Amino acid sequence: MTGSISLVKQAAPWLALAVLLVLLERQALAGPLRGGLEWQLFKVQQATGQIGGNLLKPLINWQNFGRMSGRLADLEQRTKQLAVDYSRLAAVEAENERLKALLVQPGGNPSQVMVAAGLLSGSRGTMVDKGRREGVVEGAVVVDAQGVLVGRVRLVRERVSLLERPFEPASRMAVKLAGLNTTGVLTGKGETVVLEGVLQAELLRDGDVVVTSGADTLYPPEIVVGVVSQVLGEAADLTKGAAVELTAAGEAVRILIESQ
Amino acid sequence: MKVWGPLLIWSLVIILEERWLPQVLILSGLTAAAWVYPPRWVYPMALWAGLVVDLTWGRSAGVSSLLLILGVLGVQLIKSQFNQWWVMLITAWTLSLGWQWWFSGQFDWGLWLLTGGLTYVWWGWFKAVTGSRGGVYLKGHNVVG
Repeated sequence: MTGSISLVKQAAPWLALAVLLVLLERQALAGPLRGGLEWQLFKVQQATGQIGGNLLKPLINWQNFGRMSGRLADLEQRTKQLAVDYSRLAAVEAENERLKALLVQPGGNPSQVMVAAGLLSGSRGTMVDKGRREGVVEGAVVVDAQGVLVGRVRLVRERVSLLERPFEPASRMAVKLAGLNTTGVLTGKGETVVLEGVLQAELLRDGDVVVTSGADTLYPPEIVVGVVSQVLGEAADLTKGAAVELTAAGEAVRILIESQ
Repeated sequence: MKVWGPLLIWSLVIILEERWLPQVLILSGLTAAAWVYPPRWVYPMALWAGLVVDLTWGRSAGVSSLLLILGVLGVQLIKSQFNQWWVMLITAWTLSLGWQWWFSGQFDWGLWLLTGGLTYVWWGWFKAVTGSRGGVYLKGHNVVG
């Protein structure tokens, strides 16, 4: 009994410290400490993730050897890339027109600035190493180095931000097919995304590029999201859908922030 | 040095755990540490582990630390009554069950079994670095008596 009391006594100061931390958090007084630690941990995780990835690479290559045709995969990738490039070109042209229009307005400023950031994905979510300090706000859109959609900011901390990715179950996004009038809703299913609510009469084929439509006011229009990989549904149904393969890649991203 | 080595590696482990073996490394490590090391070393480990778990993914700091410190206290109370290695394994499995239910609401048999296996590995290693018969916990710091 004495031993047990002694153990509880030893735990008491640490429990009190943890409770103090909870209280400081509730009063938003732990911001500076949190900001510094979060940012440092982000960098350490990024570094260890790269080391881990490099260590595992030979194993992954060995596993892949003989299981699939590398050439076929490469060709498929190129086809998808071409489709994405075509759509991106159209988006760049539209953006070009918008910038030209701004240039002729005296004192006109681009409405968005881009902040380069590092991306970190784990089993508990996705983070970027930029936060309130850099002007990131909730709802800001994040794209990869090629301008393909990565997600949007769900929660902003002092020096990091948490993202909502298109594949997360809570994610809903108004989309359309590039170059077509086909519209639908892209819904997250945990690890995959599905295009839903496309009317039977609308065109929908494997390989079509999915871009944001802007109709939901959450995402600006014409940002590439992914490529249709398989059309789903029966011909007798009112609507059809499709499995969509997301095309964002890499750990270097850009956050689009509305300028003041 | 006997204590700082494992503590340094522990810090790296809890940073790495997010990517590779969620929860398993932290729970197994803390259970084994609570079985071998004196409380004054294990509570900071639990506090730090909880902070890392919370801060790496932007959650409110302190809650995980509080739960882990309570977990360590529980482990030490159990050890004070039943100082057997297999009791340690059962304790680790119980904690793993609680953690999976609390954090994810799902149960993964593989991770659950792995928790026990890794606890045994941590325990063996901690004993080896601190002395073959229980280490620092038995060398003047054993508050259980």
